[in-house]
Amino acid sequence: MTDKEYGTANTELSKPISQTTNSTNMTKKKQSRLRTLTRFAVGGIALTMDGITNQMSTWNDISDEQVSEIQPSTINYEITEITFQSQSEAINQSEKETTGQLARYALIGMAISAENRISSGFSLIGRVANRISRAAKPITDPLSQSPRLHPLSKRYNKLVNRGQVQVSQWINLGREEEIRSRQLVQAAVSETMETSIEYIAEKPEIQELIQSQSTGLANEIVEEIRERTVSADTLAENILRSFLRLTPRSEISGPPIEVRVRALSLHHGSQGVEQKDIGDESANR
Amino acid sequence: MNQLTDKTSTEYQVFLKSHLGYYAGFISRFVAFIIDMLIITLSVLAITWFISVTINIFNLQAIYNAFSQLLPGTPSSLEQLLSQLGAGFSFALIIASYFIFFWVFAGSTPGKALMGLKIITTDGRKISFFRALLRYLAYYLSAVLFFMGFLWIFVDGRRQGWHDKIAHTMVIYTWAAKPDERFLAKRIQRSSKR
Repeated sequence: MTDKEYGTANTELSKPISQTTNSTNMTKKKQSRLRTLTRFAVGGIALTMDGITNQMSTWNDISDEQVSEIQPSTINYEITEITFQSQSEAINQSEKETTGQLARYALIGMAISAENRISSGFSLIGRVANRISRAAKPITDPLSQSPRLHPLSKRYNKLVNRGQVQVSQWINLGREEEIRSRQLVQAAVSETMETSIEYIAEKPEIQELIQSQSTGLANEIVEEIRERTVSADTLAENILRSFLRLTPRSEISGPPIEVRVRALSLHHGSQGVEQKDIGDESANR
Repeated sequence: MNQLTDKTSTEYQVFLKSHLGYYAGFISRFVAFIIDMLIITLSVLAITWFISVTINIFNLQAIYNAFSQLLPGTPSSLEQLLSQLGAGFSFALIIASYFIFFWVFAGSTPGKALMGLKIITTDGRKISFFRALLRYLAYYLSAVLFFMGFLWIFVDGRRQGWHDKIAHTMVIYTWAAKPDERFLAKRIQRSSKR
């Protein structure tokens, strides 16, 4: 330890105990925050990936269903290429389409076939690697089993073992952490949702809006029912009156003026309405 | 306040064109009656449930049993007694109170209010308690002859039922009632095709 380092350590030691504890707590807090953030990121990614995968499989199913409904006999799913029943049909089809459409189809076809080629390319690489390793085995085996290279291979095996232990530790940690991270994100999302809903529900503007919309809807329904019943009144009475050969309703005089005034005052919330105002008009009718 | 002083106002035009203040027809009144009966039935159900819960909570059955042993001829259970009383008398009383109360204090029952109807006297005044009572009793008279008293609304010039005639009342629209012209046109078309 240099003098400088010794000095620093000494000053650390000379600090009061409470101060040291505080700084340790702070570091722990920082670490736990970092851990939470990491978990949050991991959980978020895991959940998002799950969601995307599920959604993609659903969309895929839907699109497959739709395509099979449209052209049940023209699509061969195994090779994911569209084949027409006859060549003449394909020519007819391409004659109807514009150049732009054809170019688009060509691009889509190219993308799909590239994806196919890439996946088949990977399997080819795997097969080739296997073959190479099998072919090289007679050459590499004597080397690896040679007693001269024994210490080297021992070290190599040790390294491999250590690496395997480390990887298995990571796997266990990852397994635990993934569950925790998912739980953390789910809890955070549900809490955030609840808080947002509560916030929205408590906002007077939103409440007013919801209230006015529901009132408006209820009023509309009531109005509709009223209109229908008034129409039904008119219709039923007309039918019955014509059947019984009674005077049509249109030829019967309306209610007396005081009754209509009363109705109008009830309509306006019992405000006084002058009878003479509508008297002339009603007499003319 | 008075919109009718201005004869060019939309309010005045709406008043002229609408059925506001006209006699209400049978179907509107029947729908209102159905709504009222629904309200009454639901209320009676709620009251009955409340009574039965109260009996169970306070163990009133045990107290009643002790008294019923002293008085021979009384029903064996409290609920039986209440149902005997309720079925015969209380239900009729509840219906009567419901109609008369709302007619007198509001001029219409909740069902009628929802349908935009009001009961008034033939000279346009508010209905009094005795008139309401008379009208309610006359309901039974309207119902007794195959509901002829109610169906009379179809043929009467003022769309009055027998109970209205007896109590000198009538039911009017208190909203700018207008028949749905599209609905009417459809019905007329359909009937002419037949």
